[in-house]
Parts: sequence; C-alpha cells; structure tokens
Amino acid sequence: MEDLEATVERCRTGDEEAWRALVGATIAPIFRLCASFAPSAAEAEELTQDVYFKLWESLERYNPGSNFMAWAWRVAKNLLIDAHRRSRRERQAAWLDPEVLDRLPGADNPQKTAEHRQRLRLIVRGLGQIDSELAHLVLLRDFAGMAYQEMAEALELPLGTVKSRLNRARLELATAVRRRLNIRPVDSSSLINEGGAP
Amino acid sequence: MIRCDELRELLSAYLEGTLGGTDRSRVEDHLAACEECASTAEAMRLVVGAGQGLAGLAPSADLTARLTASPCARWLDLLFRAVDHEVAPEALARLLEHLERCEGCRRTWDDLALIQQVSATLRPPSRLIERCRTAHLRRPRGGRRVMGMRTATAAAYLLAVLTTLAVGNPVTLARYRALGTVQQASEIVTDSVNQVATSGRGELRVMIWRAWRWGKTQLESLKQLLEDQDSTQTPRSAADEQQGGTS
Repeated sequence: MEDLEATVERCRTGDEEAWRALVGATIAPIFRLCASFAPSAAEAEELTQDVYFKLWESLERYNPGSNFMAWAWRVAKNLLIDAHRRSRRERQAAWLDPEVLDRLPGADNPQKTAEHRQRLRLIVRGLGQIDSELAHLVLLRDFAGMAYQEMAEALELPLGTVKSRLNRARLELATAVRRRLNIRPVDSSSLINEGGAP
Repeated sequence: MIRCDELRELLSAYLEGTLGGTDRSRVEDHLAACEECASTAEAMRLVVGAGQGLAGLAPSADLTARLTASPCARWLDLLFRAVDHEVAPEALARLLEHLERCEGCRRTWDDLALIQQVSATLRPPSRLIERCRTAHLRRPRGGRRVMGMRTATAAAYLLAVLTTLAVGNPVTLARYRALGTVQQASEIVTDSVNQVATSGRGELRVMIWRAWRWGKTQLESLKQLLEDQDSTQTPRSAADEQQGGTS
C-alpha cells in the first residue's frame, strides 16, 4: 500500500484517485476527532466535511514526513475549537447522539449502551466545568485517540509537557465527575485499563 | 509510602498501564491505604475507559461518498471563497491551475466575477440584504447557521444579476419596451431568491449548488419570458433601434 506522503504528493497534482485514497486512509481518525469536538452527529459529519475541505485547500503546506493527524489538528484547529465551544454552550456532544451510539460495537445491548451513555453524559458535563484547553487535551487523547507524540506535534509542546498537562486535565475532570458520583474506594488492582493506552 | 501529591502525578501512567514495576507497586500500596486517592483514581478510570469505548466509531458510508464524489464541488467551494478574497495565495494558484483545465468551473468563475462587478453597482431588495447582513447572528436550535456567509453572498450575487437583467439593464429595456412585464418577472425572481435565501437551512455546499442551479434555471425562464414578449411585440423600426429609448 502506498504511503501517505506519496498519496498527498499525488493529491497536490489534482489526482482524484489519490484524494479518494487519502480520504479512505484517514476518514476514521478524522471523523473521530470531529465527533469529539462537535455537539451532534449531524454537526460531526458537517465538521468532517469542512475539515477535509480545509485539509485539501492546505495540502501545499503539508511537510512530507510529518504526522498527518498532528498536521490536521493544526490546520483545522479553529474549526474544531469553534465546534467545541458550541458543544460546551449547549452541553451536548456527538457521542451522546443516539445516531453515534447506535454505530458503536455492542450497541445491540440496551443496558450496556444506557450505562455507556450515562458515563458519557457525566463526562460531558465535567468537561464543561474545566478549562477549555485542558478539555481539549482529554478530547484529543481519550476520545479522538491521538498518540502522545501526535499530540506533542499538534500542540507544538514537548512530550513531557503534554503528559503532565493531560494528567492535570484528567485529574480536574475526575474531580468534576466525582462531585456527581458517590464513588467509593475500590480494589486498586481493578483500576488499570485492561486495554492499556488508547 | 508515596505522598498523595506524588501519586496524583503518576495516575495517568498507572491507569494506562505504562508505569514501571516499582512505581506501580508504590501506587497500588497508596491506593489500598488512601480512600480519597482511590476515589479519584476510580473517577479517572471512568474518563479514560469511556473514551476507549468509542474506539470503534466509524463514519457513515454516505459521508465518505460525499467527500470523494464530485471534485468540482471542492473547487467551486474554493472558488466562492476566492471571489470573496478569502483564500490563501497558494490555494488561489491551485484554483487558477484547475480553471485552466476545467471548462465548467472556468465558466462559473467568469459568471461569478461578472456578477460581483454587477452587484457592486446595485442595491438588492432590503429583505435579502438584511437577511444576509444578520445571517451570522442567527443560530437556530442545534447551533447551525441559518445561512452561511458564502451562501448569502451567492444568493445576493444571483439576485443582483437577475434584477440587473430584468430591470437594471437599459439595453434590455430599450430592446423589449416591456417594462411592466419585466417588472412583474423581476418580482417573481426576487420572491424566489428570497425564498431560497430564507429556507437555506441545509448544508452549505448543497445550498450553494441549489441556489446556483436555481439561478441558472431562473435566468433561462426569464430569457424565455422576454423572448416570448418580444415575439408578441410589433417589430421595431431601424430608427427605434438606433434611438434606443426607454418606454
């Protein structure tokens, strides 16, 4: 399979086949990024279109060898932040939209979906209570699934700074979530995520 | 045993399973003994776990199809912004290269450039102007704009060219001597433009396409109306043609 740099290079020459290949290779993480910042499923799709248009328009500025997702964030940052601002104001998120929840694996289990939705609702409310820049870190890492290195390149920050700020963001969010939950102490061995990092 | 503040620094790495053996044991010892930190860790686990539950989220097939269906839809989007002087120089250079190759887009570019020049000399009806001016201030439920600025611009341009053709162009008036009929046609055109502008709640690009296609259809209808009117008029004398007076 052709690497992303070669595909982008062909896109710059107006090659439509290359554009289709680029969209096919990147649509899942880009859509997840947009869904993390948009207030509804419909807006997530609309935002994805706007982001792709922006990326397409800016292809000349893509440096071969740089991380595509990090570059995508830098190019579409304003669009995404505007969407998140609406999301905060309306206390909504695309993940709470049944259209999105129904597409997730395991959506055929109503109880599991309801629990998941309840947890997401708590987190959305919590995200609305912490500083927006810290909220963006949680969204990029925990919801859009960005790697630390991608985040460091996207935010143009040292890797260590990204990790420490994300830890602070998660702590503030956890505190906000705790206020709404009566979480009791648990066996510490059950706290580690079985799947590890996202 | 590590202090609470030291533990808090390590929690993310611990929950992501990337903490080394010794540190991990120290964290677990602390959590087993400190109720407050164990509660915080549990809430943080909820945050990390909820996001991971979205890992399988995929876009609709329809979205991918829309993104790759029509290359000229992307170029026209850029073109509309270029007319409004809203594109970077390198993007404009790519657009001009495309216009060299694509006759359809080039025709639209020429039309829009002409329309922009015409619109600069006209004053469209106040209803549309007001709507365009305040479009960015109105946000309906769901946060979507009633009408994007590019759509508003496109609608205004369309209205400008249509009204120019109908009532603002002295050549048209001189030729057809049909002020009443043309004014009537102009009112129909204006109402239709207003309807398009006020119902613009769909997607921005679809709206622009609809407005543009609608504009072309209306232009054809208007031309047909004028031709029909012309065919029912008594042929004018050469002297009348030279004089080119208005009715």
